[in-house]
Amino acid sequence: MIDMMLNSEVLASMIRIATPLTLAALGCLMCQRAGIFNIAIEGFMLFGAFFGIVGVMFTGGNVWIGMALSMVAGTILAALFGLVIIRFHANMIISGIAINLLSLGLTSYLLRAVFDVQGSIRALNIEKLSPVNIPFLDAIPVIGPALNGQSIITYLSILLVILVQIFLFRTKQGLNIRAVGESEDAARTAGVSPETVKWFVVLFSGLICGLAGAYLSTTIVSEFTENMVQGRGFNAFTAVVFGNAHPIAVWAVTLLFGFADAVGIQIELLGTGIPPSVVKMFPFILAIVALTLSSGIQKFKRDGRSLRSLSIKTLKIKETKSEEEE
Amino acid sequence: MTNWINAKAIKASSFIVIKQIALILAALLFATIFLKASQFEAWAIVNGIKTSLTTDLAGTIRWATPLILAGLAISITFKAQVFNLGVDGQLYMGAAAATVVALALPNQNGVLSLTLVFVAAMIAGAVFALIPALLKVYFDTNEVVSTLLLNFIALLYMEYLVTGPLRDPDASTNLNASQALPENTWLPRLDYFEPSAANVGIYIAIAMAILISFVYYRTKLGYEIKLVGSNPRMATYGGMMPKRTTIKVMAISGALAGIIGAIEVTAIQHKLLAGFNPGYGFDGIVVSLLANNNPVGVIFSGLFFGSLKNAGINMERFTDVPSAVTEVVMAIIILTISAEILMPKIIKRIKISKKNKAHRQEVSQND
Repeated sequence: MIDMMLNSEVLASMIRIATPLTLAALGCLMCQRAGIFNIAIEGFMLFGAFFGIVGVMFTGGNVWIGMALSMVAGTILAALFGLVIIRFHANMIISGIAINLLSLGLTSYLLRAVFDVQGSIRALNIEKLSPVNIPFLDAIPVIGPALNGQSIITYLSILLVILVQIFLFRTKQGLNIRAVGESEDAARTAGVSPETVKWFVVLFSGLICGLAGAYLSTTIVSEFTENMVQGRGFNAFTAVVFGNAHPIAVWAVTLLFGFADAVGIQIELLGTGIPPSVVKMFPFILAIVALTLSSGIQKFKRDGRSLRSLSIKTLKIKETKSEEEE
Repeated sequence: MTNWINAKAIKASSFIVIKQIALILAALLFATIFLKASQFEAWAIVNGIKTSLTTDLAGTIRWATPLILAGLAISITFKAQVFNLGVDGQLYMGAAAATVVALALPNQNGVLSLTLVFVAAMIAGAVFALIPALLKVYFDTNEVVSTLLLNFIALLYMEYLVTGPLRDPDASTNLNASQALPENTWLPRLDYFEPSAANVGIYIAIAMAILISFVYYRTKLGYEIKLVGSNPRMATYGGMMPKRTTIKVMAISGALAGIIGAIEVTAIQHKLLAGFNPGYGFDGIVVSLLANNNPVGVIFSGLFFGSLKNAGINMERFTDVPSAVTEVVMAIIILTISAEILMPKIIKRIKISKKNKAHRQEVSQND
């Protein structure tokens, strides 16, 4: 059983599935650090997925242009989100839902208006990115073959995890982002403009989620289907919350979600008799359990502290009272 | 003016109505320009709404029923500052429970069995809504994310039901649906609008809206909800328990969502069908926002969005205009309402300029 789940094939598909989650989670994480609750990443990803295919179709199969276009499209949608929440101080959750709805409606609409098809479109002329072969990786058992031969975007996502980690914790700009997230007024007093910082993180999340969407539509498959993101954005958001907005931890959580998905596919392929819809539930249940665990641990830590201080206070009050009585 | 009419309140609410109508017109204008730009028939959506409100009123009623209920489910949580984005999931659970009960009941009195079906759906919806509520209260789990994730679990669970235990053994291979419900558990359709799917559910929806507004304005619970939503600290100080209110609100919201599921199953499909729900949960957010979270307002905004949805479906069926354009209209309406882009800014500016004028006059008089 364990052999079946931990071979390099499952691990390879885990890394493949986790790549868009990692990218989207990095964008969401930056927003979270600046105090922006960004569930619009689902919509950004869907936009990116659509425009990735548009770019591929109109350039005769060039994936690079598709990805560039999807990044631009994601950034434009993010600019709308930023305009509403930063400039007009709208509620982030409601605006995020609206952006997701807008993205769903616009992509389905444009699918009809531009390509005159409904439901999905396949890019037949696509020239997929060839997998990157890194010879020395094969020497490492199990993990090596899984890591080797992935798309260049996967390696880029791992590199980005490290870069974001350095950016957030080792540069002045990263400090500014975290400061805005902690206390906007304090940051403003220190001469940091919260608006500029927020615009930066929102646009960055649009850019990177656009790329994540393009990876879904042009690398994992070569088609766009209506609503093809299917909750991956929400899963990425959960990863950010569970990983406490810490890049490396968040990356590990996305890998965990990818693993749950990959094992599900493996179970389906082997035909164990478990219904596929039950298997597909697994990553979502895992996400809820993860979310509950992380928030619960934080709550109990906090409560423990306040309980202790409370008990000391009550003791003191009792002592003073008894003294008074004497 | 008599005592019981609060002139200020009427002025404020009529102002909101005018504001929202202006907003709808702006969104429709945008959609028209949008259609024109992509070389579809420009007036398609306006004509569609006109048809929905005149000749095809039945379709509007059919779609307004779930939208009003979804709007109510959302509005009650918004009032208490809780976010229930899981109306879709709770609706699925309600539909599943309604189907199970309707199939299991012996062929008996119609009203009694229908009541049982609806009660089962409400309980199922409420229980499914209690999961995120309890997680929030006991573990501080963010209810926005947990309800969104639970939607997918409910959807997959329903898929499992209709492909597995509840699947009709006589169905053709490619249709995943349960057995048809016995006729005594069908919710009657409106005779006047035969043969459309407009049904008695609209009365249920309106009754619920009135019930909820009664709860808001005449009961202790309503006062609690409003106070907890506007100032939880003060509510705690006043001896209320915001956590308990959260649980109550989520349960009510889930029960309302369960009713949607029961209506869809007993009045429209007459069986449990995989993926029958066109996203009522998120539509409910728009309905509630446009009505400013007012339960009676939800009836009207639900009717408007029902007509919009119906127009979209008719457009898809009879012309080549994609119905997705209605989603774009909805998204624009949410964005503009939540950003308060249209009116308050302008009014603020007017007020400021008036103040400045008065100030200047004062200064000049003093001189």
